[in-house]
Amino acid sequence: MLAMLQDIVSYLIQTAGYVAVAFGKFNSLDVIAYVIGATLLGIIIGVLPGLTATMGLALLTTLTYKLEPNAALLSLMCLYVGAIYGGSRTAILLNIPGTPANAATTLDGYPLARMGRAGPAMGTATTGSFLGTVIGIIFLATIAPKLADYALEFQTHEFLWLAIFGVLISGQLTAMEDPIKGWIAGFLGLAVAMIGQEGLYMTDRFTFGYTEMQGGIGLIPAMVGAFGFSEVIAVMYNRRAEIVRAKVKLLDVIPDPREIVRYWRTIGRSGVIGTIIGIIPGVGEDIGAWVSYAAARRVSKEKKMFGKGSVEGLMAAETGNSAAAPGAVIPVLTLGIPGSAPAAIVLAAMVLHGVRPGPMIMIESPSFVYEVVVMFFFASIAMFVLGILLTPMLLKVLTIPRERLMPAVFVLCVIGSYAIQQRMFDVWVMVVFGIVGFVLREMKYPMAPLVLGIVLGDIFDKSFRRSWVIHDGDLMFYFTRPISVILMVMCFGTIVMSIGPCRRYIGPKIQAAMSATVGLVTGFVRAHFSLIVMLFALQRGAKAPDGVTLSARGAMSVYFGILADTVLDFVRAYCALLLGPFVDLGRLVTGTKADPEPARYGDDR
Amino acid sequence: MPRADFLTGLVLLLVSAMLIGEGLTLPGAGGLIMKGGEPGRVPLFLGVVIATMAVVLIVRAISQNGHRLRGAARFDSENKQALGRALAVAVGGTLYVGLLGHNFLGSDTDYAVLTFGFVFIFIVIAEWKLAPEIAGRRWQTLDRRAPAAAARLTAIFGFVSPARAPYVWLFATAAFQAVVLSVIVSYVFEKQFFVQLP
Repeated sequence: MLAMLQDIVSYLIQTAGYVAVAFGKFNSLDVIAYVIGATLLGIIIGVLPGLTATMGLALLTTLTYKLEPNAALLSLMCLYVGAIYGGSRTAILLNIPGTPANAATTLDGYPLARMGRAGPAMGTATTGSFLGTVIGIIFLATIAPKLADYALEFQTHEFLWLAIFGVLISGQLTAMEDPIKGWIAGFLGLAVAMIGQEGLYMTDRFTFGYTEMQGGIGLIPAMVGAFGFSEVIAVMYNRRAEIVRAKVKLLDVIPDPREIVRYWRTIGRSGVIGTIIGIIPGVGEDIGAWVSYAAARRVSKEKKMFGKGSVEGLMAAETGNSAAAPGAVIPVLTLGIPGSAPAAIVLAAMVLHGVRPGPMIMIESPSFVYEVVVMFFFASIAMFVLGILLTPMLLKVLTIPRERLMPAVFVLCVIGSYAIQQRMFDVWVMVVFGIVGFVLREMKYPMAPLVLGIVLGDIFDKSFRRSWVIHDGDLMFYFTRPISVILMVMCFGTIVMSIGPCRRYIGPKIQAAMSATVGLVTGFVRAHFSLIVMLFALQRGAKAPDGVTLSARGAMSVYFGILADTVLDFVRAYCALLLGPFVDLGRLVTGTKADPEPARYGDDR
Repeated sequence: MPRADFLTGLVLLLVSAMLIGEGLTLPGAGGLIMKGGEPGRVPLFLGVVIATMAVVLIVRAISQNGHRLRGAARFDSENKQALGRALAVAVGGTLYVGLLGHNFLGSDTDYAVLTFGFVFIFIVIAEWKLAPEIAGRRWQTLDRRAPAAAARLTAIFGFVSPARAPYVWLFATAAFQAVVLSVIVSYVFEKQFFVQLP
């Protein structure tokens, strides 16, 4: 165990060293200008309802494609972090999320503003966003290199199931009310990716004789359309002619450090949840915020305040969505699969600038991962400082009428789609995706799985056919590789869990298994910690409070007792999950009833 | 929503039919391609998956009477206006893109001029109904903050009747924004990014 601890510490020191070296690459004055400019632009985009982080990133990618790769990507990361944070301003003041990621922020942010605490609420949002991003950055720096090493094990079978899982889970989580619509959007995205010359035998598919279609549908024009033009149409469709006048003093917005001490658990939990949600392909910041919010509510001591102006709820939502941003970049770097819609743009921008994200990243350009860490770090600092200092100015941005803003956005959508390859075909792709995207969104089809499908289409196509060729049509081959099996089970699990009765039957069992897994980990730590304390006490000859002298055998029995308890709970929960359905099915077939739950010691008390 | 789902399901069935059709007709390159690696395999698979989900959508919509298209909910005036605005933006945007780089009225369209026209028309149409309210508010602010400037403007533009003033204001500001936007975008992309504008 000590050796493991030593390994972890040396790995962390090594990582810190690499990050320090990466800092050296950003030592010019230009960097400060890019960081300030892009973060400010991101916050403004976030503040304005109707302009999303994805749209901002898509447009900025086209504006920065002539810059040096590091400068361009730094600008994009800063805009990404700034936009996710900026949306909290509108959520707090107007009850309208500036970006979809800030939808959960409205629940407590707006009630706080109505109580006359808009300034402190913005301070809380700033603290939460900053700490969330920092937690995400820590995970990015520590997990991404290891995950990239692990991803080297992935072969066609794993990539095939990963692509399917990405589309399924993204569809499931982004269209919670109706997962089938999310899946349809995802599979339509995969179908769109089939357009053009395929990568193995160069056969034309769905080109209808047009040479321009042989290159396929560009990701950036498609995303500019789906998130830019469709948003312009949506804003004009749902026009609300409100012009906001909110006055907030600078001093009110300065975060209160006591909140960090008071809500450190919420911040830590939401940061971890946000990062994990970010890592899941195509899910994104909005779901990160919702899940963090729900988790905070479940364990909070002030549950009743949630939805009525809870500082804890606001902190959880903002920490969760901001942590998801660096989290979403982890699969981009290590697998070449975006964790969210904005991360898909980041992926496209990386490819545009000659970086090849994916499992080979730690072999081909190992320093790049740490450079991305530094980019996010700069972005978080800039977001924190600008978010506080420029609050009064940023509120004035809200007074810009949408009717004035939207034609400018559309003009940028057109020229942005055109500029990359300088062909009108891309502009038409943007227009088609804009109109179709608007119609789909109005019918509650989420856009994130569609985009993820387009990104994953090529991987899916090649992996599907290659794996088929390798195993010569023998489906059992998929079961011979453990990672492939795990991903397959996760795919089927996602489908099963979306069916109401199945979810109600298996949901509690999964919940029990998950808490048993957490129990196993904490039990393992608790047992070792107790053992160390007892051995230390034994060495000093200390006595237990009841006067009994501690013996080595006693210490070991306590240690094994804790371990046995947690392992038994774990085994019991997983047996119930894995074997329970078969047992219940058997009972259903034979018509026997389940034994009543055996009485436990102390039940009668 | 069931009606929309029903119609979407039908459209998806068409899409899946196209995918399956293409998947079945794509060539196998006369034995050069190894079995399983045919280009049509994935479109075929996707077609089947999308068709399955379309059928689920249709069955679900039918169970909620979504297939009865007669007596569909009519749009009220507010919805009609919203739909009209969305259609206007979609059609206007498509028209603008269609005119880019094409011969129009005997001469090639200039990007900057066309962009100016699009932005100007967009703002004027979108703000036409709101013009009196917006102009009134702006004038009040100016009068409060800089009464001298307001008085000077009154003296210069006194010949404009109060009823027309908001629209004059709208035309002037829309033209100003359109000029600024088209000039900046043209300059940045043409001179800085060396893009040959459409």
